[in-house]
Amino acid sequence: MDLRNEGLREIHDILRPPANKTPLAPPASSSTTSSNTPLKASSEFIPHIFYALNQITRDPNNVSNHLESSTGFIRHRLRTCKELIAENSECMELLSRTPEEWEQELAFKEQELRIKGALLETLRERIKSASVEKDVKPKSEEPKEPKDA
Amino acid sequence: MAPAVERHEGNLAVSAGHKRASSVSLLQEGTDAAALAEDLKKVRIYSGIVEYEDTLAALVESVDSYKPDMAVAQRLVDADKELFASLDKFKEYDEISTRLGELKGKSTALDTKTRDILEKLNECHDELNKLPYLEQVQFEMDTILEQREKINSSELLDYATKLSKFTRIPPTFDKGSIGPNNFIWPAEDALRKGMLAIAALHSRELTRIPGQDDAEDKKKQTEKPDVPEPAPVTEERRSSFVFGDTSTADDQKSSSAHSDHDDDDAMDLDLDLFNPDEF
Repeated sequence: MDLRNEGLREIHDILRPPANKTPLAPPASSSTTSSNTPLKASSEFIPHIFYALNQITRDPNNVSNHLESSTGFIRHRLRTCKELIAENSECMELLSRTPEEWEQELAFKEQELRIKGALLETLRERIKSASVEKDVKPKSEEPKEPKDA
Repeated sequence: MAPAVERHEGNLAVSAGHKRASSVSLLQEGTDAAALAEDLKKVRIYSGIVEYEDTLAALVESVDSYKPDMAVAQRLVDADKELFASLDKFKEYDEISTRLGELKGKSTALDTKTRDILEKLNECHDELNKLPYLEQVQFEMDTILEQREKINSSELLDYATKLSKFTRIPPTFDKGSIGPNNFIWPAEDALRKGMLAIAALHSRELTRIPGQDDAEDKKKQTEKPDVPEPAPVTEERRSSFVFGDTSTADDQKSSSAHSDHDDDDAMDLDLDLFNPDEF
């Protein structure tokens, strides 16, 4: 997904990194179930949690097999996303409304702009008419002078 | 001992101030944090992330305690779906952000244009207001012409002369050409005229000659026979003989009286050359 808003892009890349970046999925050599799943789908966290749970059920006596340690990077990324949202006020304001609410707001702003433009147009017409009246008056008086003379 | 106490009190005051400042800043930070938390509650994806974190923590706790809870696992799956559904809407949010930026740019441009036009109109209004109205100018001109006919020039000049004593000189006026009539005090010639007038009233007293006045006084006294005059006691020094001297009758009488008594002296050639009148 190609996003132009920098804040949204950062959050999106953390939660769902691009395919060319390091995948969240576990190494394919150590997996039996995830070897069939595509790498793109592994950007989500659930497959990794399932893999970790599977590892624990297969070898429950292994000390290194703890769900907390294996899901640490997920918590870290979630925490980073939270910080990014909290620090970026523009992003926070943008995400605080639903797209439908934003559509209404955008329609309202467009209407406001149209009114402003119409006001400016009216003002331009009035100035133009005033300047035309000013220009017309001397022209109507000028031809009278030679007649009087 | 006293300075130490004062220093201690000062330190206490400083620490109290620090405490007050820190408490104020803490309060401020607290209110800011509360406001931020309130704003963050409205962000849907933020709530989804928080829920995801909580559910994952619950699942980890249940699994690591060898008591896996399937309900928590199902909640985690739902939270995951919700979170990534929110993430899928980022494309829409991005478009909204772009449109908002465009609208903001248009609004700013319109506001700038409107402000420029209003400023220009205001300037034109001020310039037009500075110009005098034609009717007013004509009325003032007619009034001035009417009043000019009524005013007498000599009265105007007199009034101006009086008024100028209490007003300032125009900056372009030549100070060298100021006459005495323009002073607020009487002019010198007026002062002199006043003195001459007083002198004219007492002209006889001022113009009398001392010798003539004595003779006239004596004449006046002789004209009054009824009033007896006491004989003056004169102890004058005898005047010396001067050749060609024209002495008065009294002097001659006195000299003849003296000549009777002092013949010897008269025969003396009076060689005393000292004349006191010369000194």
